[in-house]
Amino acid sequence: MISLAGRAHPFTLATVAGSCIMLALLLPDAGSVGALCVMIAIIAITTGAGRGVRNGLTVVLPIWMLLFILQAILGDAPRMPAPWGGSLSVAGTHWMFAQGTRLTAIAIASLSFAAVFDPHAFLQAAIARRWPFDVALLVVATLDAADRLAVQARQLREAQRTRGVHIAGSIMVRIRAVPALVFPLLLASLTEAGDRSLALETRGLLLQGHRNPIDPPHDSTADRVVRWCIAIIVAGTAIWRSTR
Amino acid sequence: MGVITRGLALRYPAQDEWALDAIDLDIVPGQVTWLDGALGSGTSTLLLALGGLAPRLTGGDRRGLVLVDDHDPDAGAPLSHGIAYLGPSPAVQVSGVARTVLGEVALGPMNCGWTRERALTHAHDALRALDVVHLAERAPGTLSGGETQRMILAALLASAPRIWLLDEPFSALDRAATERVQRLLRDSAAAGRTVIVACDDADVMLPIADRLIVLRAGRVALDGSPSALLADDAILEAGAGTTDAGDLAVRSGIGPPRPLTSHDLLARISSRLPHAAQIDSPDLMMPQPGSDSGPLRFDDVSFGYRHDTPVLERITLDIRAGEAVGLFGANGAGKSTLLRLAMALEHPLNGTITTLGRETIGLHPEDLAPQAAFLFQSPERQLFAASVRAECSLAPKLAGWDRDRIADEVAATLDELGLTDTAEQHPYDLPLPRRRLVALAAILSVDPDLLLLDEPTAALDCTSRNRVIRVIRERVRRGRTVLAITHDPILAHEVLDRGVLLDRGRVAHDGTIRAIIDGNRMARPAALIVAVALGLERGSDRRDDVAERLRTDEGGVP
Repeated sequence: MISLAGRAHPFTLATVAGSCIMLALLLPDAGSVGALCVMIAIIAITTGAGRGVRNGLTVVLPIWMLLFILQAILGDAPRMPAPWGGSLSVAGTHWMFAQGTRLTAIAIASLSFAAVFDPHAFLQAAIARRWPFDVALLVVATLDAADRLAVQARQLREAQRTRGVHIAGSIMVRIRAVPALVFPLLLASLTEAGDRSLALETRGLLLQGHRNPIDPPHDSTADRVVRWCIAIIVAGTAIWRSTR
Repeated sequence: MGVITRGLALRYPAQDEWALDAIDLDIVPGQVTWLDGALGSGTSTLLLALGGLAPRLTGGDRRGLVLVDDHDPDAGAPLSHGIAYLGPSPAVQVSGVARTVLGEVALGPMNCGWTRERALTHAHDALRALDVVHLAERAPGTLSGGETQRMILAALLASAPRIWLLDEPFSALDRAATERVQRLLRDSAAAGRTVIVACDDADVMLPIADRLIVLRAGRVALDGSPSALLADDAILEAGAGTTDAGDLAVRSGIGPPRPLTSHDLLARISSRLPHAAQIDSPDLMMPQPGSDSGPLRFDDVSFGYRHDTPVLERITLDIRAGEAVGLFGANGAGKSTLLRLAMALEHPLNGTITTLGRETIGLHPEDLAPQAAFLFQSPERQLFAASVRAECSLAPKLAGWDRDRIADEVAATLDELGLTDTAEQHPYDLPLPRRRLVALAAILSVDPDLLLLDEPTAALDCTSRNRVIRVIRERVRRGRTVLAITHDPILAHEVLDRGVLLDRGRVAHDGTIRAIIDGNRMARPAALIVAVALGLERGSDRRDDVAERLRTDEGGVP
């Protein structure tokens, strides 16, 4: 069964994700941004982009820990008592929540979008709208890069494991395995960049000129209504913030 | 029209040597031109230069003139000049922007600005021509190696190119697909297209090529009729190989002009044949199971990457110690998946797999290494050490060998595979076929008990292929167990004893290797045909045995 995100027009998905990021930057305090995070997570999970929420939370967890140490624990006076004893910086803690929730909203919105992003549909939609093809290709290539890197990393890890390199198990084993993966991965990525240019050249993706879409995605009335509503909400929030 | 080069020279960045030098060629449309040469001779570089991809993408310097249909290909993407270029690793040419195989194939026509109807018509025609219509709705990333190669060929064909530049286009194809691509290239030439193919398989190219150009150290060493050149000594001196029958003739001491097909070889030695050259009685006897369970056992195994799409169904196999078993079947039959299951890279949905006496459920590949070793289908991007020697030393080091033993074994393995001179180089500085040899050396250096090999001879030149065959045969002679996927009839005949044929995820046959070959799954090796004609039994029908018999036979070789 195709999820709601899978059925939506790619521009609608991009608009929703982009608007959530804009709102995360526009909303004034940690409470409202926190509510936005919850809303993004609910939308993502109910429309089939739950993987992005999980990935987003995984990405921001170490950032939260860093913010906590640098701002809340090591932050300036005045200080307030911590529930477990000791004290926390008042301003640092507020700053941690304000920035942490913003980063969380941005991470889960963008990674949820990446989780359901369909490069084919996006490119076809861009061609149908007569967007410059190289701009659309740049968007697709940027969003696709992480997937390609993940495939490359998986292949390298498989090769290492079949030779007897232990990369699973305790935290220490996993940490020790990181350098053994990172340097070959960087090198492989450089090779991959060469491969990509070969693919782009030989498959005609860099040809200039007009293109006709093969199967442009359907842009329904619901898609257009959602896009307009979200645009109005973001514009309204921006005006509200600029007048306060 | 066609291709013209004058004084073409090309040098890669940071290299002193010219990869191509003083290349003067006139290649006319309507012919299939075949490029051959030893590893590093410059055939792949020449294709890249003709496609305008080198030095534009690779960097480096180019001198001299290149004209493809009166245009310098350096000034634009290949498709803009009507050029279809297929590289030696088709998987890297997958666009990554198509959801389905049909979308991938239609991409070229779309980029050329064709109307939707015309693009789709050409895409469907191309899918039919390559017999991949059944894959049209599959995601490109889920295809097997052979299916990917056919998809990219279809994608190139859909753009109706005037010029074909193909680097090892048969490397991952099964026999039926090979014949289909041979027909496609012949038909393209007949339709007035220019077809240039770099290929190390003389048996595949001889029936379709009009002209053979042999490169040596970046220069044209030979240029002429394929049958005349292949039958002569000069091609061997140039470092290129000849056909399987021609190779057997060389080993047998038969002088030039040598027979190039098994039929011609039999005719040459017909006066001394005790038997008619008849091998149409396939020996389908199932090998009798041994009393002990072997190092690899599949017990009613089913698997799918998705639960609703089975790739393997109810596979039961027992591979005994010291056996050399081949996995055969059409592209996409599930061969690579079966090998991945054996190495615990995947785990079965149903049934059990026992590798080296351990059930693979709950195991990781590193638990089976180094006693079990795995060669991936495209291992050239799965290398990770800073030098060839370090790459080959890793597995023995992890196995706890002492330094002297590691040094000795690695040196011996590099020597066996002809890699000694590259031992201190970075693997990524080597050409693709040599990287594949490095990957093989890296798993052989620890002398594993079980070798799981996915196309170990694909896209190798004649000398390297013979080396790999010799090395694997030597491991089998030492009692190691081999399970290999191959479309190479010579590897199958020279090394393997037993063949398992997969058909749409199920075991269709399990019998002797002769049964697989006779069942028309692959071309019959010349050694087998001559051995049958000479009345030699299995076990004494390998190339060297047959050649020895022909050399020492009463009256000598005519």
